[in-house]
Amino acid sequence: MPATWSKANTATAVAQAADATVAYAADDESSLIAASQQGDCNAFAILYRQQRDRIYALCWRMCAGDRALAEDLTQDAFVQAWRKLSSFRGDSAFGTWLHRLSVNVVLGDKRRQSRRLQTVSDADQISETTRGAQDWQGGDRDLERAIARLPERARTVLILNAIEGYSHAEISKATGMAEGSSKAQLHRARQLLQQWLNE
Amino acid sequence: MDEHQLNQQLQALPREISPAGDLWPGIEQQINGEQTAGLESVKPFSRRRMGWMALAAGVLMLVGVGRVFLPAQQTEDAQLDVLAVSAAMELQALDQSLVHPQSTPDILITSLPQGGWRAVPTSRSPVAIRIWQPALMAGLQENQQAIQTLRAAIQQQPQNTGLLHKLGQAERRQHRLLRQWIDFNGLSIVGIIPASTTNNSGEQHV
Repeated sequence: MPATWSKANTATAVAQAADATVAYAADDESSLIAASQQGDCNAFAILYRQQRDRIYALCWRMCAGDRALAEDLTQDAFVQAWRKLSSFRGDSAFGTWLHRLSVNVVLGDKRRQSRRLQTVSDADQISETTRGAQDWQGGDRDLERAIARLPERARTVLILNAIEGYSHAEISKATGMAEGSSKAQLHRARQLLQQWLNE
Repeated sequence: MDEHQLNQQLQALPREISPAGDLWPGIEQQINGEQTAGLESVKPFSRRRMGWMALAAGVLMLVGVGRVFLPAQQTEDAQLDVLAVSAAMELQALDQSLVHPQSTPDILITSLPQGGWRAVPTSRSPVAIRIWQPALMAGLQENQQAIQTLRAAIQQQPQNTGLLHKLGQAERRQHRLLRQWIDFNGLSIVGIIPASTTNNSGEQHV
């Protein structure tokens, strides 16, 4: 396949996308989604600005306050959302769809990290530097610090259930842990938080 | 603090937090990078059809079949043909995969000699292994060298937030490259020698 074939096709695709651009208003989510699905990057930028802070808050807590990693994962989540936008059918709110996608991005990153930590011998060095980037935001810094201190699984369940409102069934589906384990992790998280905040 | 108070505090936590900087430029760069790579259509929905898999399918359909589908005698010749014809496009793809590691394809589609198609995991594709793997290695080494330099500079200026930020970026990039490396090798990686064992020239052995 000659390279010129590819370039010609790309040019055609760009022209088609320009023709197909959907008109939208900044406050009309459905038209923004439709335009984004047609390849309109500006419409997607508006959706990004509407959803950014909620997704960043999720990533930041799930990453135990690691700001740099949270920023990376937030970017990853929106890039993934752009790629998968065609699969969004409007069965749920866009924010809900994006939030679930973001949870999967974060959990996927954690799974890859745990694989890497088993095989890379300088992982501790990387981890130490990363932890130096913690930055406590929000209104209740003691509670945020305590949440970040929780063991990984307990923290994940606590954030998804107690803060983000996911059911144990939804958490089970996203994380692969049994519903009973999810409930046990939540109980453990609450106990630890109470203990630490009472110290 | 009792259970009720804890619940109240959890409920009072902000559901929205603003990142320190604007993340859109990075997102836009990745999106536009994919669009202008000449590898896929602009539209996200058609990207699934016209993306990496279609590119690889087209390339491999024209030049024949890779090693995994040919008798051993023909394997090397066919592989060389594949490499010769597709090198320019594969290198373009490689460039994108290093700049945007998430865009590395999970599978390539290749044609069978008796007709039909078959999906091959990228980690087992001769083309991918020949081209991506050495480049990933080079990227890892180059990035590790940058990390070494930054760490040395931070020792001299421990309060320099600009250097710390750059170090964080370089380490995150290293994470991504390592992930790709591990994926390519099917978890067969035996280890990365810690930075302290690099030689005086700054060369890193992986």
